[in-house]
Amino acid sequence: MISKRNPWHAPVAASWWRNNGFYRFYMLREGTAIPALWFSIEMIFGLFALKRGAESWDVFIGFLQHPVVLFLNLVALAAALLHSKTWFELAPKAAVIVIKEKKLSPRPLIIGLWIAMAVISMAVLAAALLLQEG
Amino acid sequence: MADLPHCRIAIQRYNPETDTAPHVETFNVPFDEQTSLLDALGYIKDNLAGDLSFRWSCRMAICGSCGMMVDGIPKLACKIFLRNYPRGMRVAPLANFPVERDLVVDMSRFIESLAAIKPYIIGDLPAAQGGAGKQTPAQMARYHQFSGCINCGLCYAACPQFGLNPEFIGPAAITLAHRYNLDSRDKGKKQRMPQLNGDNGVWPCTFVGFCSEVCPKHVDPAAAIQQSKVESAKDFLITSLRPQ
Repeated sequence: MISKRNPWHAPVAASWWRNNGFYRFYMLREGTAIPALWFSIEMIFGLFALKRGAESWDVFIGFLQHPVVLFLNLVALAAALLHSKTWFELAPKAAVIVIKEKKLSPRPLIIGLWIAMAVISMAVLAAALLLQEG
Repeated sequence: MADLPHCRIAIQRYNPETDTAPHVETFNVPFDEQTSLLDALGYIKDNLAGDLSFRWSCRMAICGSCGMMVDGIPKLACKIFLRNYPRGMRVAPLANFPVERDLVVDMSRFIESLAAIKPYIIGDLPAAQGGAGKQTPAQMARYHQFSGCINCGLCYAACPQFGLNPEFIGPAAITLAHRYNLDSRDKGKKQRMPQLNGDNGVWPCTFVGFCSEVCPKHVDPAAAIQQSKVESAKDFLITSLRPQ
């Protein structure tokens, strides 16, 4: 039998995500990893500065106070908050919780995750301030 | 009919016998409050282009035949209305599938994946012979949302990972595997896990989440895939810890 089939395969361009708002936001969400990488390197750098002694630590503090570094750290904070928001909204999808014969809606889980984040952040901040006082 | 407003519909056309690549043809279609895109395609086929090919059947969003891209977003043609597109629309075949002709795509890869995950209850035969399998409302609540799939393929058209790697078994197939794995009457999980654990199973998914956004039945395939990832990870741990 002779077939007249000749399927056409659409090519996938590297710019596949640009024409759709949902995909663009996905790329932004995943892109928050880059500021997180910057901040991690900065933290490691700070740890080494601490290990090398007071002089080295002062240089690191000076570095942190540079306007460009301050700006980059603000970007990293914004990226971390955006990442947390999107992650908290997606996380409830990973579990089926059935309570009283009904599937639990994602809302209480999302609120719980925000509360947990606030409590942990406050505890860390309080511990740091207490250590400074002592 | 002459006084009705018209909608400009630009359709991607492809004839496998004469074309090397698709081209766009524009039609002006009269519409009222009730005209769906599927009605408009029927009008075009009856009055403007008799050779236009598209799939359809039920006209009420349950058969899953009329999936296509509208302004780049996967939609069911019967479930969208011309009144909501005052500036016209661009219609193309479902993305990420090979195009056979006009708006008709080859969905065999999806159908093969669907068959491969054994989307049916694998239970013990003696119990089945004893009558209908009983289930509590709580047991049913675990999987019910995932059982609403109509196999329309919109989630595959929304999935960039499937676009990049057509071997990925994809959102609907994984969702159905998970639906049966969650069913209290089913004992076939062991047979389905190798498909989900494999290179083209759940792990190519990067949780873009557009599949759940476009699903016309609110099945939430992205959720089913994330839950399957948890199951796959548990399966891996248990298998590696269990003495051989």
